[in-house]
Amino acid sequence: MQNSLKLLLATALTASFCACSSHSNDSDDNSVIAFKAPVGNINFSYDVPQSQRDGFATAINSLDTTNVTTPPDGILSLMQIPDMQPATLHKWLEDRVQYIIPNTYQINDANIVEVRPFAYPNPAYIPVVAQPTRSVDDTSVHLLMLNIGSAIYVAGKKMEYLLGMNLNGLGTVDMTSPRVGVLEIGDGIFDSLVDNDQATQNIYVLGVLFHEAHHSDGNKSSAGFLHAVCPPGHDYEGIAACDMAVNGPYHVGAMMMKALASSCTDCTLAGKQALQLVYLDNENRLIGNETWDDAPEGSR
Amino acid sequence: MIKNGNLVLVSILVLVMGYCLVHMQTKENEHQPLPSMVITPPPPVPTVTATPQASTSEESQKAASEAFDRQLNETATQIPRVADLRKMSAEEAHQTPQVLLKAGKALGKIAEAVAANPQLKDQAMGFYRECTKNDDYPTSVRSLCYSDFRNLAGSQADELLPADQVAPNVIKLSKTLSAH
Repeated sequence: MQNSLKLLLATALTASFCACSSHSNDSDDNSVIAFKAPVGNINFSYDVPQSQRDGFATAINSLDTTNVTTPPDGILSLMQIPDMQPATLHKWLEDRVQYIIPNTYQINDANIVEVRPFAYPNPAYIPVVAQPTRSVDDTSVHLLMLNIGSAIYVAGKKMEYLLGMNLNGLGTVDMTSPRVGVLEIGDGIFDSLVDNDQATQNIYVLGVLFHEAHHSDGNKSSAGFLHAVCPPGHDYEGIAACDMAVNGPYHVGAMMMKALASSCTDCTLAGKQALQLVYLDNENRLIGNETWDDAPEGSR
Repeated sequence: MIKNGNLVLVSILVLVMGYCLVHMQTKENEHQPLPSMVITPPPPVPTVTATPQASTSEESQKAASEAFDRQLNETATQIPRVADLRKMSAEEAHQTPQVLLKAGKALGKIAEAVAANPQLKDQAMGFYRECTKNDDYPTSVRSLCYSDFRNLAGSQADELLPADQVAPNVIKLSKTLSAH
């Protein structure tokens, strides 16, 4: 019991360190502006740096010029969409992502509040968080994107208490479902994948975004579509960076990148190579052949 | 006010750890090229002195070839090893790590160089062949190299790099690139 408690605390401290260490990378624009207009129905807390908001908006808006005439096999059933028209893809994202917050967001008593006792659906089912089988020397890291909303939802479910997130300028958001959709973003996601190739950059950001958005799906033991530990011999052996589900976030992100890259007329050859490598890295993380129930749990 | 505040925070943080933090390593991981990855320059082309124009052209191509060799060797140093990936935390490894993105950028420049100067094709194929067979490299990199090799080799691909010389998981993964 004592050891378990120590492990919990150590893990929590490591998480805190990671969040803190990434702060130093946000220096280009930390100005808090009075109002940040939403992109579609996706809202930004007021402390998201303007540069990150702009980068995010550029990627999202690039969907408007998407023209995937022949989607890769299986992608429509994978994502349960009728086509890959821009409106369809926007809706898919907005069903799963409503709020964007900065990676400076602190998990503390001021930001995370207990709202009330809550009757969660499927109370007997709590998703299992895979524990790495390798110890790591965690050094300075650079935040890309994080579906923090799903994590808060599962934490509340474990406690049988509804939790709320205080978001700067947006008030308290009750985490009644992973579909409430709160994502943290950091500068890392906007680091240039290749030089002078915005089209490639947009596709890369969208691939990560579709991956993270899919963490808002699932119910019972599939809630949040948590990752599995990669098996012995795998490139990421011992790390919770694989999927047992063929309809998991890695495959969703990979297939979206593939589909968007295939129709990209502005991408450079170098950009397409870089995207292919990211695609392969993601696709290589499918280690099972399970199909998980992706119907969302709860309602927002 | 939060009851059992510490428990709330610990629960959330643990979940966040196991969830979907997406980080990128800021520490550079560069490597010396393996002996097998050092690209040997092709034998010197016999000097042709028929016309000053031809000489200039050959000198120019030789310079391009030498520069490309340097680029290939530099790229080899930028490809992370599997051992590097396995040292990462779940947060770093959750999305494609920065070291792999950097390798993708370098591989992209190789593809562009060959597209701009087809006479570099044989050098690139040599690089891709060694990259495909290097089991210290991540499967994703080897699969991309294998795919690129086959694209350049065309109908001679199976002859120049038989499937029995390539790891099955590399072949399998590379096939997903072309699968529609």
